[in-house]
Amino acid sequence: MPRRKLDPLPATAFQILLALADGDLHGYGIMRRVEEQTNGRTRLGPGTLYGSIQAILEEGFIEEVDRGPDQEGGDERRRYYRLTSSGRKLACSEADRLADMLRAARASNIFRGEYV
Amino acid sequence: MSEKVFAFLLSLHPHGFREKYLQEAMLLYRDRYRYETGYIRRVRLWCDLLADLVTSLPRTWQTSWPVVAVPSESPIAKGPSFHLLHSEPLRPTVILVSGVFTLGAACAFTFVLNAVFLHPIQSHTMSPIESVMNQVNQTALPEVGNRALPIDSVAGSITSLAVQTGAHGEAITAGVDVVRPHAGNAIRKKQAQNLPHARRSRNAEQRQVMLESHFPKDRREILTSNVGSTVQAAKSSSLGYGQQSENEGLARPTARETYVRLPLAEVQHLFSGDCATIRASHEFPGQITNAFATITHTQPFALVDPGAGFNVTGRRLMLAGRCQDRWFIEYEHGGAAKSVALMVLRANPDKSVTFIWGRQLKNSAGDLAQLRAVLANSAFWDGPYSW
Repeated sequence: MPRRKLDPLPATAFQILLALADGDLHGYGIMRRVEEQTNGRTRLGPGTLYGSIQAILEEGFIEEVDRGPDQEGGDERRRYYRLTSSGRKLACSEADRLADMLRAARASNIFRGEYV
Repeated sequence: MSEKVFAFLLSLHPHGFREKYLQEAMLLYRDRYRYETGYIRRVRLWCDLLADLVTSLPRTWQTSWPVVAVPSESPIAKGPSFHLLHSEPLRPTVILVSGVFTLGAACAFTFVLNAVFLHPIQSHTMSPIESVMNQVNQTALPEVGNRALPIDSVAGSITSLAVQTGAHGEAITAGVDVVRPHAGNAIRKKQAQNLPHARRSRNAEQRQVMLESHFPKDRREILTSNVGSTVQAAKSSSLGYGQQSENEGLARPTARETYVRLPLAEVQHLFSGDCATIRASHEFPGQITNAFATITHTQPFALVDPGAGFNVTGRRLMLAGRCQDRWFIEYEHGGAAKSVALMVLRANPDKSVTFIWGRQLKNSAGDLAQLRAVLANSAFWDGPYSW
């Protein structure tokens, strides 16, 4: 059985899935949303962004949507991406996995002060 | 301009990636360029782009971009089906194998180039240049004193030749260049390159041009002769001064030719034994004054006595003397910005003089004891000196 590219799910792919959870976005929109989500720590470059988008597209977790210029915010030159139901499930499972890890980290008392 | 640079960076990505995302990537870049203004933000933008290129480029090349299959729309049932394969990614093994083959091809090309053009395969029939070199190598080593000094240690090694041949291919004139043993590597390398160039030239006029361009005129007069005298000149180019009246053809030595390296113990040995000092230049024997005038490029001999004013040659005796058959001359050189030079010569029984050793001193010496101390402390500049 061939190894899946998104197993485990890379952090960049997870960030893109989260960025698309609120609605359809184009490439630059995804980049800005990821930057907001990470408090400016992550700014995806074109190579990383579109490489990850391509991988997620191949796995069917997101899909391209047509959005003509007549629609709100539409730009015919841009591709818009939408989270699919399988992509939403994957994002949820990844968030659960990270939450479990966070619980384990709390239990191990590695945090100090009021950080968490 | 910056957009062109970014487009160039994008062109490093696989064809499939560019085909699908080039336009979007350009739009993304324009958006960022539009919104991220100011010097610091622009610098940060380019840092991001370059970092992204470094990290994403290997990944995009490894990503298996989908093989786009476009079936032909042939109406013929059960007919042949054609598929177009677009931009299939390079596999690591393909890159490895192609790299090995490329490296091998480059090595083979270099080998062939070197063998054919730079070092032609030697034939059994000696060329005129090889015959000259053969004679040079078979000639007896020059005798200095009671021991034979190898030509490499005193006179230098013969590394390059330029030969003019006659109608039947015989060597009628030859130029021999002698590399001093401790000349700089750059000089040695440059001179060593003369030989293959001369060998490659099959035109007599071209060889003559090489001869004139590769060898200084004053040495060419000596070294350009028939083969036999060329060998003799090469042997004695830095030996046998003091016979100018008998042999006007002897070349004046350059600073590099009078640079002889000796171990410090041997230098000190030059001043061992009973030595007598002299402080007036008229006390020199004729052969020593002739040799000094030849080496210092001053004719006639001009070396003023200690305490006198500098003459036009700018050389003033400080200390001189004799230790057995060796003569040493310490003199000031240069007038206002003067230096102190020390030269050691050997007076041979046949009235010729051999240059043994010499340096520019860091400290002057007023007597023999001080001079020995200067040498013991290696207080001299180790390099060629223009006497």
